[in-house]
Amino acid sequence: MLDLQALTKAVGDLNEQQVLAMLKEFVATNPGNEETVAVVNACQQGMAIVGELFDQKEYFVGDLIFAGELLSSAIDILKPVLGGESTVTVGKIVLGTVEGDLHDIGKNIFKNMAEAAGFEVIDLGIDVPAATFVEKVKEIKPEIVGMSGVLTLALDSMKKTVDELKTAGLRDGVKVIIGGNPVTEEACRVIGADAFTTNAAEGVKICQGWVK
Amino acid sequence: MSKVIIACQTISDELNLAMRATGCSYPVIRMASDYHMDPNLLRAKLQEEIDKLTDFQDVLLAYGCCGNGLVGLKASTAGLIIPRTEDCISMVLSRPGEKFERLKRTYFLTRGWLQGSKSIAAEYEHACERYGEARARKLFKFMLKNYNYLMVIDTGAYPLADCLSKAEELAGNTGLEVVVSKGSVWLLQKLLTGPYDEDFSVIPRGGTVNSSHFGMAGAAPAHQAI
Repeated sequence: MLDLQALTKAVGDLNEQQVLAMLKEFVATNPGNEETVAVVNACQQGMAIVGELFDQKEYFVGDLIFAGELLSSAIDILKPVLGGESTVTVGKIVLGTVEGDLHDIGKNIFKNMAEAAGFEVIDLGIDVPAATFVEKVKEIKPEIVGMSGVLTLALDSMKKTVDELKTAGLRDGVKVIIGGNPVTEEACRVIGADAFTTNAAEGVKICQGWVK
Repeated sequence: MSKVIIACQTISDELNLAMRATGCSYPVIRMASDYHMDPNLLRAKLQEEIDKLTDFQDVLLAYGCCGNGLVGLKASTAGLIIPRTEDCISMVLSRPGEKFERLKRTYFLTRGWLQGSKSIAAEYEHACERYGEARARKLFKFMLKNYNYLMVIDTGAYPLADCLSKAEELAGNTGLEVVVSKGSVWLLQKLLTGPYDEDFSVIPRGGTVNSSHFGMAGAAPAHQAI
């Protein structure tokens, strides 16, 4: 059995060679689903470490992007053995960087991690107008709407999006999570979101709590 | 009537120019640029400085809303005067009486932005060291995929040539196109001299900065809606 702690550490250290070698070796043993899910969790814990090291100013933005790529490669390797229950979607998230903002590094990391956790993520991209969120929520009927942004103006766009979801009668049917540098408890309240986070791993945890 | 300035290091050149132009000699507390990456940390560090002050009537904060970094600040020891602007980009690119429209697909630079320890130039250098040049270019292609332009803002507060050549090098490595745009320090000058009209939020001693002070979920000044 793979040393999960060592895997978490290797992901946290962004040691690509070691992570990929460990996972390839693991997949070669034709593991069961339960074991594989534990390995995905270990990778996610490694991503949480990356997030912490970024918060502590040790990692740069480029490292976050590298970590996102590393997680994607890891999931690609694990896909063939990730069968059974784990292929069932745990929930749908309509996700986007809000209107006026084009920062999407955090959003993409969240997307990677949410997909690794079994969510189907419908990524609307950047600079997404409120009307597009509303349209997609109508069409996809997700459990969760995720809005991301870095600029101060993103908060206004988030509020506008929630207001338009309300007007369209869709707000009560979804949980809304906002993420990015400027989000705070006060902003969350003013915007009318259900939760806020500045940490992708924590955001995924919140979403998992909603679909349990 | 004493005032003190608390300013982000990022706009040090611009503040210096504004001070020279207005003959202002208020004391200045300069804060590290890196705090802008983490608004909660920025807020905590600014509060620490404000709490330490004695004998000042007003603090002039050479900041914008800065990703909500200023929202929640308490005017514990003096009144706070803050430009009603999003951040230092809108601060130097806006024009008096005009609505600021942020250009899309544009990464903004001044000398001050390049000097931060987490600046895009430092990012690139770090990535090259850690992952090698080829991988660093790939990471940056991804990081900057929503950008087409690297805009050097000529605020008139620093020699342009050096900053421009660094920007051109960076643009060459990341596939962006360098453009130069004229900026200005009018809002900083007005912060130093007043009048504290609709371009500013004035928080009296004992008050707290909230999002409506920057226009969010409240009445925004017509020319500076955010």
